[in-house]
Amino acid sequence: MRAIKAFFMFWWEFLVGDTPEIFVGTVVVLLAVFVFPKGIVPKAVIMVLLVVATIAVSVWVELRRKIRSTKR
Amino acid sequence: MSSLVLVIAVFLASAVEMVEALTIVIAAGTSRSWRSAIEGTLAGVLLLAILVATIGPALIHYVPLAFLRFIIGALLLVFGLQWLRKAILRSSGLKAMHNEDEVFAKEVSKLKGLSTPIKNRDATAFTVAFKGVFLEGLEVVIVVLTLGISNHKLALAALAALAAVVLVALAGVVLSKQLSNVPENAMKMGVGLMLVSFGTFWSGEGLGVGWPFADGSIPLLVLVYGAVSYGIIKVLAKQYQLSLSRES
Repeated sequence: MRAIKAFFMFWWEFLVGDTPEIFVGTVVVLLAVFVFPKGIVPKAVIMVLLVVATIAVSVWVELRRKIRSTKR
Repeated sequence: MSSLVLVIAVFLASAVEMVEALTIVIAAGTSRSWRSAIEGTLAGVLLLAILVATIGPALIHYVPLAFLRFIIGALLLVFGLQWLRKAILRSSGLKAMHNEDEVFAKEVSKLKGLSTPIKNRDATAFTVAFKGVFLEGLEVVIVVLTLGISNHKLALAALAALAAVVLVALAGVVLSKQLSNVPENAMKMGVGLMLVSFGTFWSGEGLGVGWPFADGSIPLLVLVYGAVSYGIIKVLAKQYQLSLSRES
């Protein structure tokens, strides 16, 4: 039981850790690319834009966090 | 082209992790026992090699490549974005640079506070070195397995990792200091960019994305993500400075 728990904890720490927005962002990117209909805009473009948005949101979250902590 | 990118990505990822592991090993060796620290290091390296040798071929033989590439791509995307995020935050001044000298000093003071080592062998030095090498090395194993399997070049990926391990170890011995001069953040940024690019490409392929230049899209993705990261660093640093000046 302890080994199973340790196994899941390892993967949780590895994939989510202290940046859940990156994990959620990646899931959203993959889901969006999967459901996006073919033909309107190339899926490659949609995917790259969504990955860029994930990075931007993730660092923006950290910037807000940092600004809040310096205000205190 | 993708072989070269693969070798560079694995080499840099391994070198970054090896610098961190080496700092811990040197701390255990100088403050406790060199013999046990080296034994712990060798035990850690051996266990990591066994993991690569057993899990790698098993995955290649029993899991369909298309499925494997999608899962590997998704993993690389998460992993690469985490590295890239950290490198961007450090470059823009939002996060302190990783300082090997500080890590070394902290490890040494922690280890010196423990009981005196018995003769040449010391369980603490062994455990600390083993854990340091194994835990830092696990990330390398995942990079080697994912990049190696997806490219059908597991041996090449393992060799690139081994070359980095040997080179950093030699540098550590020759320089006999804590490798604080290694441009770790720049290396982390490079690896992050490559992992995100590989991750985008493979997970995209798994989802039916048609890449315009096939494998040639990978270096293009590195360039696009690199340019975007550079822009984000500039904007972030400016915003942070602005908020600090408003506060003061």
